[in-house]
Amino acid sequence: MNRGSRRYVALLVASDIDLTWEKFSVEIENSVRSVFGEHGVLWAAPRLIDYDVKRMIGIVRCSHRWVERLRAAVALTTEIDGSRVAFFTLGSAGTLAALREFLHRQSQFQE
Amino acid sequence: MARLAKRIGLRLVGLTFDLQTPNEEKLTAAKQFEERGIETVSRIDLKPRNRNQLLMTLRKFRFRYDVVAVECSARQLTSIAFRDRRVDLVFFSPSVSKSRLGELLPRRSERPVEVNVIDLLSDDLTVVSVPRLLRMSDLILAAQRKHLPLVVSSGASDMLSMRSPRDMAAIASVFGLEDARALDAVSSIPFSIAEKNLKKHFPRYISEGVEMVRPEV
Repeated sequence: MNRGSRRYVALLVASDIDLTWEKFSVEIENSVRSVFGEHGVLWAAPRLIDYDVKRMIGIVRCSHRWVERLRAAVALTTEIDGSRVAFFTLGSAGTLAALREFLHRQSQFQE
Repeated sequence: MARLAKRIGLRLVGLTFDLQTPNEEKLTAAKQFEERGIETVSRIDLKPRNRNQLLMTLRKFRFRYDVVAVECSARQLTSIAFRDRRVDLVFFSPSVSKSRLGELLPRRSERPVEVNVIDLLSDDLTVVSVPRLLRMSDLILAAQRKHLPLVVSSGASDMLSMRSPRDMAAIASVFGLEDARALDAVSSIPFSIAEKNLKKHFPRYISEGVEMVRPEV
């Protein structure tokens, strides 16, 4: 079965609280659900692949057709457990290696 | 805020000030961004109650700020704001109901309509408000139907309400704006407004389309 193309999106988190892997993962799914519903979650298939807690940068995998909608959904997320939060898309790529390379190259994204 | 702005890829920010903001404060705010390589333009949001107030504030404050945005709450104001060349941006108060937006927009104008992402959020900025989502979608569709240029801004007053330009374009495209127009709304249109107004500071600028040309010596 063809699983479809995937894209990898790097997200920067700004928040008053420390966001754990589990919380981040659930929140990505919830943000897509709140804007596009269960159908959106099914088709976007967002999944947290990597998360650097120190730099607050996460890499999310999703369907290549849903990258822009994923961006919009996470940009509309403003709160987690009563604390304000903001997600910013730093970039996206077709492979994990390309995205990691992009993040590595961008010195401004380094601590 | 400036550090995050640089990190999320902003190259130009409009800093909104009150009428009473002292010059030192404006310069300090601009310096913070410019130190990180982000261009700034000073901006004022006028919220007039009637036609006379709009014309008076425009006359008084136009040349003190790079960008002048006008909030429209009545049809009488809208028609002037869209026609007056001193106005750079027109936006609508979040309290204007969805059904009135269409009648407030003129048929065609070169004046861009501004949409703020922060207007999508509830008053405590923690939840996305569904009536406001519908209102934004309606505004974007009405502006598209009437061939009006759109500008999408974050409307941020703090770090956590900022959004990256591509994310704002993605939000606009979700609400029905074509992808190319959504990208223009966060890049070429705001840049052209800033460029047009920053040109006025050049010594050789005389008026729109008229510049003093000196032969090279």
